[in-house]
Amino acid sequence: MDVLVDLAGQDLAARGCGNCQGSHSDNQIRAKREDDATPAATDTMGESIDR
Amino acid sequence: MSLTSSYYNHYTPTSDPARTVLFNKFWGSVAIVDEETARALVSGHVAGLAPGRLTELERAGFFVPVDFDERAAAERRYLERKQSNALLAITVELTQECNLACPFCYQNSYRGTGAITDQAINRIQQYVQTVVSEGRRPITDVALRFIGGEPLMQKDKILAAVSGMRGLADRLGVGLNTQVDTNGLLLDEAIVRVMDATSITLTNKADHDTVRVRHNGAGSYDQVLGRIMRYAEHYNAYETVLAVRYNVNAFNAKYVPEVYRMVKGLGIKYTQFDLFNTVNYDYNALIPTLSSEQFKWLYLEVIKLKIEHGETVTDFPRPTFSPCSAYTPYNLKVTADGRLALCDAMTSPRGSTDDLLRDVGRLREIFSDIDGHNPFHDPQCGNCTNVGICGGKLYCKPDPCDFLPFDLDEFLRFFAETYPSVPNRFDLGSPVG
Repeated sequence: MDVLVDLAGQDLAARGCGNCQGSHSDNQIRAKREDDATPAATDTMGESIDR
Repeated sequence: MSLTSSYYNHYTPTSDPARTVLFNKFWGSVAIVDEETARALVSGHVAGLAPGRLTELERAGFFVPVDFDERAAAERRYLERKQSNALLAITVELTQECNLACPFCYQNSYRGTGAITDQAINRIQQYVQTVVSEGRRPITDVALRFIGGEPLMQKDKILAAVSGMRGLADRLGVGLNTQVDTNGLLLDEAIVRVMDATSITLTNKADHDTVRVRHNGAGSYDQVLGRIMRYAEHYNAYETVLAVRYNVNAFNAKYVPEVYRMVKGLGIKYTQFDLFNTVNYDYNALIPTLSSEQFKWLYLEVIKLKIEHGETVTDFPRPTFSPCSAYTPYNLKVTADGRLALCDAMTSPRGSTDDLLRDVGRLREIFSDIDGHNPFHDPQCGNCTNVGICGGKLYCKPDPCDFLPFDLDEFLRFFAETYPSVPNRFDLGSPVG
């Protein structure tokens, strides 16, 4: 047995709003969910990054 | 004293039946246990365990006295943390106007063209002063975040607001952390200088130029990356964080490692790279998203990538027992038209800054339905072992129980394998106070 991390008794500080990933535009309650997505026929993004 | 297994223990099997990863969702402790110990923990029959092993597991929180009411302790801890949270989060929506015309933007349906008034900004400062000086919460730090629209279209207002708030924070003796969420097109030295962090969305060029377009339909990748590179030395001089937000969809997912490496190669000392799944974008009809499982797999791959590159990651299923920002009293968002909300994600504002002039407590009355949220009044949340990690539902999530960006068991297996050899690569969090 090996206790890797013992945090008992420690109240950890919250990191802002970490669970919602902390950014406004991804947090909106939207009508469309992944279940509603219509797959596109082809990958139109298929080019590598231009530096 | 009789002991029993903690109600908040979580058991993650591994490919080796003799090794189970044990995780305690009340404290966050992690252990690897053998079959005998795992059986004793699951059954609660501790008599056969060696005293030394029992003591070690009790010390880490995996065993508790039989007469200890853990769920009551969890509720006490939650309520205490909610009231004693030392971070005051203030979000300012400067304008809804934007110099991009992204087809997916959630603001397209209600976008206005006005900007926040100087009066509203002054009232936000008065609000912060009152909340801190009256001890409404024991505030040690203020997080001041600017959003839009494109907030840098109101650059003068940002600079004035930061200057005013920094003077106030100094007088009050609290810390101030500033962040702007910007598309980066108008980034300049003054903004890099006054911000602790700039959050900029960037994906691979082809994707970025498709979904983040100007009003004439032209892409914005080259201009955004050009601005970042032009001010790289200022990021370093002012120790400002460049936080890159990668909005993942099914087509750009494969470019994540490439863009991550590009960001790490910019020569900027403090960078942060975060994945966001675009499950709720209007363009989903055209561009499919990843499934939740695919996204979580990719998210964990990025954690591994960061550790390989020597980064310290903060990802951990951390039981802080802290509610989300909207449920934390006195956190405030002010919209461009001077109306009130509680966090950056809230798009249905109520009242106005006028309401806060005489009594800052009016905010809690206006949002009493949200402010009074107590997950322990909800049997589902109150009896859920995840309550300390998720904080008791997220205000903004369509599925409030989907609270981690990674699969818990996959993460714990990875953590148990990796942590012993590189413990410094994991920032598990700092204690309160």
